[in-house]
Amino acid sequence: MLKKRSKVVSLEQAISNIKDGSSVAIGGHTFRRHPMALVYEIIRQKKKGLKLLGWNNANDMDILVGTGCAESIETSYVGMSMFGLANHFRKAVENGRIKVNEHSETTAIDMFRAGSLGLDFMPTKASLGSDIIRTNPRIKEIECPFTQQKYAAVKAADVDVAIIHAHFSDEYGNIGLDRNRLMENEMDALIAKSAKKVIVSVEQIVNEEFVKNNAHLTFVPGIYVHSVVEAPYGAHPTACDSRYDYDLNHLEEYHNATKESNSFIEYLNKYVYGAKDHYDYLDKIGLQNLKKIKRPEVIVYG
Amino acid sequence: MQYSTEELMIVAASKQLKNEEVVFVGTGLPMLACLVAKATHAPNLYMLFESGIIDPKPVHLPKGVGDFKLLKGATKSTSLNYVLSLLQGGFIDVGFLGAAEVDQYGNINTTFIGGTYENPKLRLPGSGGANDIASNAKRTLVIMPHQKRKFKKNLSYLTTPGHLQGGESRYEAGLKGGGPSRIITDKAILDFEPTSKKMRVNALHPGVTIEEVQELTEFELVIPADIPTTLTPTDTELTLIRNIDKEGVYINKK
Repeated sequence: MLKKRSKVVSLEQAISNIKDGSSVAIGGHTFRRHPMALVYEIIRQKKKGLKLLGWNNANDMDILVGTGCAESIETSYVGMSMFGLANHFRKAVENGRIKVNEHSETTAIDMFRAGSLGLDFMPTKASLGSDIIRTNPRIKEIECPFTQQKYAAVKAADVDVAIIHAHFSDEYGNIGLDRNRLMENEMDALIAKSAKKVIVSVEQIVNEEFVKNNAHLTFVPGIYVHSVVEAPYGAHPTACDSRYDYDLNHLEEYHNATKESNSFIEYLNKYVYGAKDHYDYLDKIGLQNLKKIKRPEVIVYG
Repeated sequence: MQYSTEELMIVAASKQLKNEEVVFVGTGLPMLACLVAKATHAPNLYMLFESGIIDPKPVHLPKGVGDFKLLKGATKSTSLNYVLSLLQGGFIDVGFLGAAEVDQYGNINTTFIGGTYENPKLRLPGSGGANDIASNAKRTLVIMPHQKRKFKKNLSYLTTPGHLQGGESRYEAGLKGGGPSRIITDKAILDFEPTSKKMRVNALHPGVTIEEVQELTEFELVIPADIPTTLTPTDTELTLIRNIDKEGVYINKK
């Protein structure tokens, strides 16, 4: 019998599959479970002209804009929550360096929902009457054929590559979330399903038996996953559900570094260009700091 | 007891909430308003958070969106996708909003200020879930500072629908929810004149004059003949707030 193809590759190999100019959808939201190890590798490989898509974003998109990897952005939000505005995003939009397609969260998710279902569009009430529908060419007003009510039609996202981060995978790319998780996460599955190619980083690679004995934990089946990278703390400094919390000190360090170009270059030289791979990055963050954000002692249920 | 303007605003917002209503709430003052309402006149108020947490009893207040501290005591932890579907499905009675700019019909801008969409002078983060809340909640409450640069005749960008161009325009645009019902600022409480849907002064905070409020507003407010003074927080309410936020996350910040 022919052996199944393993999908586990190195971080470098995984990202080498992304071509300049691709549309790249990023999983996670706010400060949660963005695939940061994959994002940093995109920066190391100096990708250009990426069209970034997401539904609620933060440092993930900001750093890709700040390092010149992004050409356009489609999402509902790019900000640093309690720290303030996303500095690179803000400056790049203000001087016309990147183009933005504005969304509400619903319309942003609906472009992935439509894509994941193989449909051309998804109807929604969000964005009606606002400037979002007037400025985003992906959204148009339509009339319901049954009730003649007005709806916004959101055109399916055309995603070349989806990058997401999850808890575990077997070597065949069956991606799972821990049984004891804090939250649900359908959106990353929609983002993955709407993409031509799916690259996933996981906290750990598990054996196939574990997946088969816990098949209900699989939220993205291997049938449409292209490659898997083992990257413990791969969402750092964003949170990874039950595994670890967000690293507020590091997010603040990032945010402060983005205020001036010198300090940003220093930040990149230390944590991104200066780290030859993800494990080197983790060494720079330091075990002590990683231990501080580890669950459950930090929070688990407040 | 002495109170701060923030505490007055929290109590004013809490009084807008009714028992057994379902509230889509953000972190910060809106959450405190809900917790005060729950501890006083609305014990069975249901809080839903954008991050997908339903009906929590938080012990520690979260610092921002997506903070897991909110999970304590929740009856369901789900996803944002799920709570957004509740909005569109018509299950949410009240939604809270903030605003960088608001116009006389309660439309909100959080996208950019000055310049054009392609070349804005100041680019802001964008809608996030605000447009979704404003489009679909049965009514919304806006909490924001009262400043002339924020109460604008013309918005740079209409991110989040209020009563659009007034009158029936919101309904005609196909929106399901009822739009903003109150705007609570550090100077006054505002509502909307029922027919024109123009912003109207509903109450003035103690010591604030109508002239002052109009001066801080770029457009002309509807001013009724009789304007009550906003109720001041009672000692019980103040004790409650200070107990809820004893770590000083949002008020009396440490």
